[in-house]
Formats: sequence, structure tokens, C-alpha cells
Amino acid sequence: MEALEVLHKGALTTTQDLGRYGYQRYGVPICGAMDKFALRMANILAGNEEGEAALEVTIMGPKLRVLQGLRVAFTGADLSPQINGLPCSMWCCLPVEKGDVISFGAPRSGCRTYIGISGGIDVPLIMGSRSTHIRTGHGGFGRALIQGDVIHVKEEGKNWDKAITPKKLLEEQIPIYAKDWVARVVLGPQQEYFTPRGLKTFLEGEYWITPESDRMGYRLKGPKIEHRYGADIITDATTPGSVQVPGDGMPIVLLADAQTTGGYPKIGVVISPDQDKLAQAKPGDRIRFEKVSISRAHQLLVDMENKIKAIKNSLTLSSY
Amino acid sequence: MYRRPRYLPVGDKGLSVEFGNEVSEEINHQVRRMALALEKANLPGVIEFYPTFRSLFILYNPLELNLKNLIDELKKLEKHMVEIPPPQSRTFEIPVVYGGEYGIDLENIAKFLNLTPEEVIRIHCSQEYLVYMNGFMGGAAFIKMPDQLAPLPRKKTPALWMPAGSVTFAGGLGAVFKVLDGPTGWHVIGRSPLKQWFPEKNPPILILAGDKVRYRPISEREYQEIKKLVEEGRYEVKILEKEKEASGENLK
Repeated sequence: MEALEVLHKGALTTTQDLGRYGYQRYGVPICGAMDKFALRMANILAGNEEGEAALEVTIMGPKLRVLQGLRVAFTGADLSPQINGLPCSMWCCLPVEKGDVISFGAPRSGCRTYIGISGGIDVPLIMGSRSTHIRTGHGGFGRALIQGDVIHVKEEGKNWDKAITPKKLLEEQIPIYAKDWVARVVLGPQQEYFTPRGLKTFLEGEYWITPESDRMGYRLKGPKIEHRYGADIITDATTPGSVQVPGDGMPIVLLADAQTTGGYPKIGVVISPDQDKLAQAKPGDRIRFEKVSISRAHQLLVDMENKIKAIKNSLTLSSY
Repeated sequence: MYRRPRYLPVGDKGLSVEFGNEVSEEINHQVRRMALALEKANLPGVIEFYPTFRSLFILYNPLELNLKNLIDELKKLEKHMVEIPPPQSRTFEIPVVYGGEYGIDLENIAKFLNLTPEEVIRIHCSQEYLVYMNGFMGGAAFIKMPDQLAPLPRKKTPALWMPAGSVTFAGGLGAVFKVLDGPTGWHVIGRSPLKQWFPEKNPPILILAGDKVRYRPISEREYQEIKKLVEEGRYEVKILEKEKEASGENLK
């Protein structure tokens, strides 16, 4: 049923869920939310399953008219969300009524806001996912939202009692987005393609995110990483987080829309929780890379899941 | 081919099983045999996997499956791989208009290789190619070029836009044809009216890893005719032969 109408498109807004799995063998990128933590939170707060499709809003937000009573939740970047022109809270569940207008102001921190909508966005499941891949034009609306698009939700939001304490994250549960980022990496699978000096440069240098950055990957500029055997490998798999280094020695971090294969050597792969963080980095921000072992990376993944469990528990408690 | 495959961790959720460091049918067959073995094994915690030229990439959920256990399981599968028959395959005929505005680099390719354009075309369309892998996006299908065409390097400056259908190669490798409009650093020898990408179908692509292709030169007029049929969804891609499965049954 109809939930929101796009009055103004903003810079780039797409439907995204947790991604499209099982089709990389056919050369289909995973896609999905750039910041999966924020997407999951947006859904949990809006009363959905974690993996429902939500709107991913980039830098300059859209203007949306509410077509029926809904619960929405804004998570991720603070792009000054407003309801009927008044600033509204983030990381909490907000009721909106038919006729309300959602809009955004100046970007304050981070790059991507997620709008979770009660019921979950109703677009066809394409290869098991509602995520949009703009380059091949499939999933979601097959493109970024434009004026006149109507977003449907899968089911009418269940009746909710406004008297119940609204769901809200605690201050310490909300990530802080600065302009300097540390991305932790597991080295490899092609670290032997770089000289010891190249590896040292990669782990000690500071890189900035160039404007040639999007959902597919961020092109970085900074100290040149020295190759040992040249910048060509026999094409193999590229996975989100891969840091590939072409001939010019400037790293490219592949993210949610990563192509499934590529021919540049990969010096390391950014761990999943830090891919979420990088989703909130903008052109001009700075990145340093820090090496972690695989077992440490796996522990950090467990920590992340525990954090999400703890948040879910505290939300359940607060609504009684 | 390595004596034993290398197991290379790829970040916190990936594992690459590398069988060698060259493009050869033998290595690629091993890669696809392991994919088949893994398909049959149906290991809990394995999210998905896919073959590339010389390695198999596996995406796993470390919260469900320990990396060491995954590698142990794969090492067990290594021993059974020989028993698995090579993947079944079809040979597709790929119509191509060579040269002119459809293959803007044909003259330069010929000059670089010290051949005439006619010789380049003859070499290009006179053999069967194994599709080693699907990848990039939209299911691009990749092949190895014959020795006479292999010395051509990538373009120094990539072309910013080439239409889907462009038949390209460089550095010893080729794309059966380009799946999407967009940039390419490979040389364009011609253009095919066929389509590879059908997101509404399952599988969403026509030519799969393990299939074979053979090019057939066509005229510009035939290109237009086929193109129209393809766009209307009425063109039947010609399959030159289907390999029979070990059971003797034909593929669908």
C-alpha cells in the first residue's frame, strides 16, 4: 500500500536491504546498504525485521510526502532530517501522519541516512533482494528515486499505542562520524605483489577520499604504494572491502556495489564492521589503514553482533 | 598448476582457493570441479562461491563456520574432485560484425600484430573458446585469446564509452562481448547483436562459465535483423552442440 510520494529527489536515494547473495557466480554484485548497521537499526526501530528494504539517502536528502500513518526511523548520517519543517530526532521511532512532509537540511555528519519505514518497502524481489543496482538497472526502482515516485510498504503498519515509550537508542549506542577514519584490514590475498616498503606505506600513510567515489568504491589519493610484480594479476574475485591497487599506486576500496571480479592486486580487505563506517565517509575525509589478524577480525564481528543484540534487548525493555 | 591449491583468506568473510597462476583449461577445470564438489557438499555457513580463471572464491559466515573447519572440509573435497565429471557445456554461435564503426580498433589491432585485418578476423572466428568465468557485473563472460592475438596489450588510455555487444580483447584475454554500455581498456574488434543480461530470468545470464563460444562473421544488415529479433525477445541463439552428460542425457 502507498506510503510515501517523492516531491523532490535529492542527490541519490535508493531502496536497499542487506544485499543480493548467491548470484555472484553470474557476475551479479551483492549491493545492499552501504552501512548495514544503520540499515538494521532503522528497521528494528521502525518495527521491522532487520533485513527489510529501507531508503538509503545520500548527502542531500529528498522531500517526501507521507501518504498514510506510518512509523519511520532515521539512522546513519545526520543530514538534518525534518518533519513538516521542524528538526526531528534520529535513532528513534517516529510516528508520522498522512500529509506530513519529510525533508532534509544541511548535511552535518556522515554521508548516508537510512529511513526505515514500518512494514518495509514493497518493491519486487529480484534475485532474492530489494536492493537497487543502478549500473545494471535492476532491483528497487531500477534507478535512483525521482519526483513522482510512490513508495509502497508491504503491509499496513500495525496499530501502535503512542502512549508506549517510543523506541530510541541510548546516546552511547549511536556511532559518531568524524572526518578521520581508521579502516581495519586483513592483509592479502595478494600482499606478496607489494614490496615491504609498499606495505609500510599502505599501513602508515594517510589517504583522502577523492570525489571519484560512489557505492562501487572509493578512489583514494595519498602516498604511492609500491608494487613488486606489477599491477596485473590474473582476474580473480573482488569482494566488498577489497583494497585494490592499480598501476598508479593509489588504492581503491571496493564497497557494496563492488564488481564481482577484477585484475588488480588486492593488498588487503577492510573488515565488515569498518565497511559500515566507511559508508559514512565523504569525499575529502581522511583514511588510515590498520592491520588486524583474521582471528581478531572474527572477534570484532562477534562483538558487532553482540552490540546489536544488546541494543535490541534494551529497546524491548524500554517499550514496556 | 600448483601441486596443492593455496588457501588465501580474503578479509573476514572470504576465502580464495587458488589452483595456479596462469590461464589454462586444466587449472580452470579444477576450479570448476571444486565448485561442483562444494555444491554437492552443501556446507552450512557457506553463503556462496564462484569460479574465476584460476581460483574459487568462497563467501562464508564466520559466525556459523570457522575458517579452519572450512579449509579442512575443502581439503577433504580435494580428494574427491577427480571423481566428479567435468561440468556440462553448450557451444554458442556468436554473430559479429567485424571492423568499421562496429569494431573501431580492428585496423590498429592488425597493425600491432603485423597481420592484415582479414587475417585477424580469420584467426578470431576460426576457433572455439572456453568460457572460463562470469564476472565484473551483468555476467560478463571471459575467454582466453589464441596465441597469435595474445600479444596485444591493454589500451594506454581506456575508451570512455563503448556500446554493449562490443567484442573486446587485450592482454591475452577477451570478453565474449561487452554486457553493458560503458568504458573499456580493451580493444574493440567488432560488435554482436546478442544480449547476455536478463535480470528477470534465472539464471540471469545466457553464456555460463564452462560453456564454449564460436564467432561467426555477419554483415551489417544481418546485425540489424538479429538485433531487432533480440530486442523483441524472438531471437533463438544458435547452439552448435551440447555436450552430453555422463548419464547420456541431453541438457535442457
